[in-house]
Amino acid sequence: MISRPVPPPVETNALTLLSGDRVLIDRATLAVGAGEVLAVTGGAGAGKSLLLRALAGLPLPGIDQTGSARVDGRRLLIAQGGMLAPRRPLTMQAAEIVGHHLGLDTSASLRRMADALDRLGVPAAARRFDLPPDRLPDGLRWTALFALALAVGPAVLLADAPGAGLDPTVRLRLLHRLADWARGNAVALILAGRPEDGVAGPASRVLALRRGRLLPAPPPLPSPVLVPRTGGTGAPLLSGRGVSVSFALGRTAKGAERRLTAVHETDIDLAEGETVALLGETGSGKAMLARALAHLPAPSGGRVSWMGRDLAAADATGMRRVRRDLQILFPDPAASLDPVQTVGAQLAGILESLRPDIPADRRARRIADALEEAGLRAEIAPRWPATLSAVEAARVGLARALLPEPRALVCDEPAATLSAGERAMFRDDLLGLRDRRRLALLLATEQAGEGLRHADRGLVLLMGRVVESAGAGALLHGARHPLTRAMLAAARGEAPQLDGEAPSALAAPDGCPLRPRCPNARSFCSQAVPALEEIAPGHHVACHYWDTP
Amino acid sequence: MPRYALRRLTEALPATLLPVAAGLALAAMPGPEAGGALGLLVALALTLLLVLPALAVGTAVGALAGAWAGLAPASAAGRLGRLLAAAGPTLPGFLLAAVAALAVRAGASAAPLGWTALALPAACQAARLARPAMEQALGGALGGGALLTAQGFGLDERTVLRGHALPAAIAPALGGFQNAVLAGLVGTVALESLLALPGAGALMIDAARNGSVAGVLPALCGLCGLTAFLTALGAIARDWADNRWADNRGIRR
Amino acid sequence: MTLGDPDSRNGGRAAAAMAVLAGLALACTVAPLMADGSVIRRHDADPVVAALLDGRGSLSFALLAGLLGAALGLGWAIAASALGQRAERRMMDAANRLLALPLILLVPLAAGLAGGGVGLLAATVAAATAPAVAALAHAELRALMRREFLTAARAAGLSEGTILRRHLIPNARRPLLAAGALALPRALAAESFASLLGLGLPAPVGSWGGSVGLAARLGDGLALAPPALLLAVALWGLCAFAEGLRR
Repeated sequence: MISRPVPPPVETNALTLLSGDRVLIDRATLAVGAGEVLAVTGGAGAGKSLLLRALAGLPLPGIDQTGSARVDGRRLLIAQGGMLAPRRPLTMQAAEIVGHHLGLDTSASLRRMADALDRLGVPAAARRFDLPPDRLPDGLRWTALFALALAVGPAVLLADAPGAGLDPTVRLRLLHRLADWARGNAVALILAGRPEDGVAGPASRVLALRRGRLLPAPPPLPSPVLVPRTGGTGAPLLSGRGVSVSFALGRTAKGAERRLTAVHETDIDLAEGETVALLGETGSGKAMLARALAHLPAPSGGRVSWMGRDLAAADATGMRRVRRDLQILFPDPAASLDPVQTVGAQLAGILESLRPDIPADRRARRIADALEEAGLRAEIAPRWPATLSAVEAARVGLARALLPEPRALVCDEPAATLSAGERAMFRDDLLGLRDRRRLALLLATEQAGEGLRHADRGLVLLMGRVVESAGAGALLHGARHPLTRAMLAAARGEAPQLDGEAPSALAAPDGCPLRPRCPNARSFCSQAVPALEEIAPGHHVACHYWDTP
Repeated sequence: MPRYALRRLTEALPATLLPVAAGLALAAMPGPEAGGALGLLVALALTLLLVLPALAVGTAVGALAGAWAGLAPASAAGRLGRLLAAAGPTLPGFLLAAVAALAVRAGASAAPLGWTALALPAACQAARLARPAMEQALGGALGGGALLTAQGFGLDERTVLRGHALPAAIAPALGGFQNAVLAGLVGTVALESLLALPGAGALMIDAARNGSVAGVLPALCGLCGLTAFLTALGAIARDWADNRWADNRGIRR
Repeated sequence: MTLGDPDSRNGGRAAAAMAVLAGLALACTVAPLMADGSVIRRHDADPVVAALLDGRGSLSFALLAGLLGAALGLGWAIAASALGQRAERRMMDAANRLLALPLILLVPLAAGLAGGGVGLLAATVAAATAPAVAALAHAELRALMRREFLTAARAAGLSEGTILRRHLIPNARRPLLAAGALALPRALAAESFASLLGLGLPAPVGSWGGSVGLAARLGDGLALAPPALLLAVALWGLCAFAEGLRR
């Protein structure tokens, strides 16, 4: 690399970062050429931000640096979190930054910014940048940050956890556009992120930071061979017919009631031992639907039944019997524990409520068993929730769900608070439990690839409507709906063929809700919401042009 | 006048004008000791003259000193900010007004002392709010935050401090302006009464001493209107701080 | 972590405030004994002892009126949360409107116009402090109602009554206490303000505000300093105590 005639714009040699005598980054050596896209992956606290800050020339105070780091040309760092000054209109901040670097006046700066936004595919109608950033949607805020970097035109761009918190579909699309721009303009681009953030997708080279060392990332594990599962036979345990969820928004001037519909009439079944993945982007209503099926709270319309019995008609005792069989895993396990009761006391209260058949003197035994099943030791029972780590809290949540020996679990983004490695272990334990106990799982998640690999069937939701449902294999290999394809492409690290973000439910477009983002959209799409039609046995799609390649 | 200022003022108009008008109407009614509507108007103007400069200067000085306390705690301005922030609730306006009245009786001149007594609580309150906000803006730079983004985009430290950290510190201080107005008004009433200044507050307290409802109500209404007006001015100041270099040319083409 | 743990810092301040307040209350209680062993007449006492004697009136009134205001404000917030959405919105709108008005001015006015009994004064002070308590307590209650562990308790089939008893009340206790504590410094300030103008506690009951006002009118610096200082310390202590409870 060093023998090239033009030295690469970013080059470090045995760069070591120390805090006191603790080595945070150990002899990192890397070179990034012009037009090259490098991804640096590592878990939380691996030192990605430290490395990027050192390269950007903004080291943290108290960090010593040895070895050499050379960065040529103008360099920009998009810092973690992508926060802009929250209350100042974005146009103002853009003009200030672009003007500072290029010496342009306000209107010329804003023209450059507009060009950059064009390149990132933001339609002019969506540019609401006279607003302060705290009123912009997240996707637009990140796009604006990237556009700001493009407008300045650096030689080196360092992005720390770019697009974190965005939907994978939106994030991957943006990252690919950024990478294409870097390649086309001979910019050295470094993307840092956690392995699950998909920063490796658009990069040409991936390095992993582990225990302070920067090493080539191991090739991704081949996706496990899909074992055809045999669950999902017989009568459904849990079934929803025409389930809808809506909220009152007050009244209009004419006195008519305004409602925001988060989930439109949806049918869904979950058979004994079956795993169903409920996929969708943020705001698609998957969590609302999952909770409505567990009557937490009850849906606004439609009927949910458990083993043929209508839940709405059940009395308190009947409902308790259903809850004993149907438990839920929460997205933030720590928040789902009462902070003023010990873990053991909470579990005992639940056991008392749901399993009155277990005598009081055998409750402790049952709690210890459930904790052990969830991968914890019984000594955790006397602890307070605030002293639990994220992993422990997630496993306590699992133990709580297992406590009454349920037959079905509703999982709302289970363990979303864990890092990738911890989550994988948690997921494996959950799947092991499912197989051992023949649990039925309803898995609401935004990780399409991961969700489908372990499921029998998948349902894809878009703005509260099912747009595709099929067996997991059929979805993984023959998805027809543009949204499903985009979600799967994002899961593989490829560029999803969708533009922009999901619109707000308050301003839903006419016709197909995907129309403004869809590459196949035609004029007819704005006229009618596509209905779900069966295109193959067991495979339903709601798209006017599903057969268009 | 900028659009946002007009909007704030129109919003505050009913809350300001209605009580003042009601007060004037009540004062104009023939009664045992009515000083007349004009008298009330003059008294209100005097109260405004007392409280507005004190609040404005106090909030500005307090916010800056508080921001400095977050930035450089050991500097002189930083020490002042820390002192003000720590003094916070221990210095209510009426207590300072009593001290000022004592000093005036000992021969000091009334106006500067009175203003200082009214400005100090506002400064304490602003410093209390600005200091943690500044610390957060700067501390955010260690783990992310708007400040690091600005630095990462290559702005120099001066610009970052002036354009990003300072507004972040001053916004909450201006946001707490309503409380400062209420406390300032209480201090003003005490000051007027102790120094026998012919303001609306003294008018009201004298009427209360005489047990005259007809004397109390007009002044009370007027003071409520004054509160709404001052609060609206605070909201305008906050909008101004946010919009300082705003221009309405969008990036829309 | 490098910036210092705000929790422990606040906790330490709350403890210091408790100690200061306890010391102040103790000093005020034993002040008569400090002079010459028997209850003395106030006028010939030296200023410090007189100020300590005044403290008995000020502190006990602040406690009485503050507790009254806290109860009123907490009742307001709890009623608003319990009475359903429309009543909740109306009641909290009213509290926020009242918050924007200089309610403290009503205290001397009520005392002046209605002739100033302790009961009436306490009621006015309580009414003037209640909206702030109500607004804070309501915000805390709303945040609590949205917490996920309540959903988890419902998923465990617990009845609403059991959830209220076992989860809501234990978790609401501390934030509500903190909101209520807000009324104490406000009550002390309101009473002192009114007494300073001579329209507060009736003459036989001594008060810091009254002494400060009298000294300011007479131009007696020596008599002004002790009650003013004690008042400032008491206000600091009560504020720090209320803030410490909020974590």
